[in-house]
Amino acid sequence: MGKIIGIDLGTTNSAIAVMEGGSAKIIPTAEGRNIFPSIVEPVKNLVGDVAKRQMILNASNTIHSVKRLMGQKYSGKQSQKTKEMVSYEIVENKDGSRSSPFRRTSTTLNARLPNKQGK
Amino acid sequence: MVKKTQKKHEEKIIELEEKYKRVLADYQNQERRHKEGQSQLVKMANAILIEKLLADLDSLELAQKHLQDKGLSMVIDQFFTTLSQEGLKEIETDHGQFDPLLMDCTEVVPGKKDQVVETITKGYYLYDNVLRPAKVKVGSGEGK
Repeated sequence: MGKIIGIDLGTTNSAIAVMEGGSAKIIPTAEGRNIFPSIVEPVKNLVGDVAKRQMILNASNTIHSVKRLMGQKYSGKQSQKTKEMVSYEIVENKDGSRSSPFRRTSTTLNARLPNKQGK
Repeated sequence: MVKKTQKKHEEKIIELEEKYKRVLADYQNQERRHKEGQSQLVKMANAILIEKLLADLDSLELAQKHLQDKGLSMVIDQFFTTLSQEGLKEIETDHGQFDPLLMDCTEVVPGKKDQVVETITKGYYLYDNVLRPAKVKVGSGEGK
């Protein structure tokens, strides 16, 4: 059985914990922080604080506030609102496939989110 | 019946062996991490205090920029030497390539693309870790 990790995915910040000895243990970043910004730069493979530091320099390739779009349809009100707000381009997805290196992951979502975003 | 019980026991042995191997691997990992954590803790014990003192160092440097006082310059040097002895080292930023691992881009200004134009706040390493990234202005690629 592989390791079990849990991701607390927030709109602004995230945290990742691993199950060790029956309890969850937060995995700190290289800089020793327990939480990190929910920001990624997929071209240069930058995540968290490092991605945030170059955000204004590379705004079109830096993805943030992605939780606003989770579970939403492209044509939905929330998606269209977010599209106007963010610096990167949002396009309609034709391929719904995804993969994960972990066998089991659990993600906590803000309780105030609509049900369809928690799925 | 006996065969069935024997098969059940064999399966239980295999399951327990698996569990034992996993627990042993977890223990070894934990031991290694504990050792690493301990040496890291000794090194980084001062990190929070030094990070707070950096704000004072910034203020002194700002005052020196304005006053150009010889005495103040000596105090700043002495202060920085003390912090250096604790593992503090300045991050070089002057007109180099912007590196998000070490620097924080606060403004994009006319200048060479992705080159540091100006350092707003100095960045520092504590031993090999970035204690505080440097805040810099970066060139947009457009001329002045």
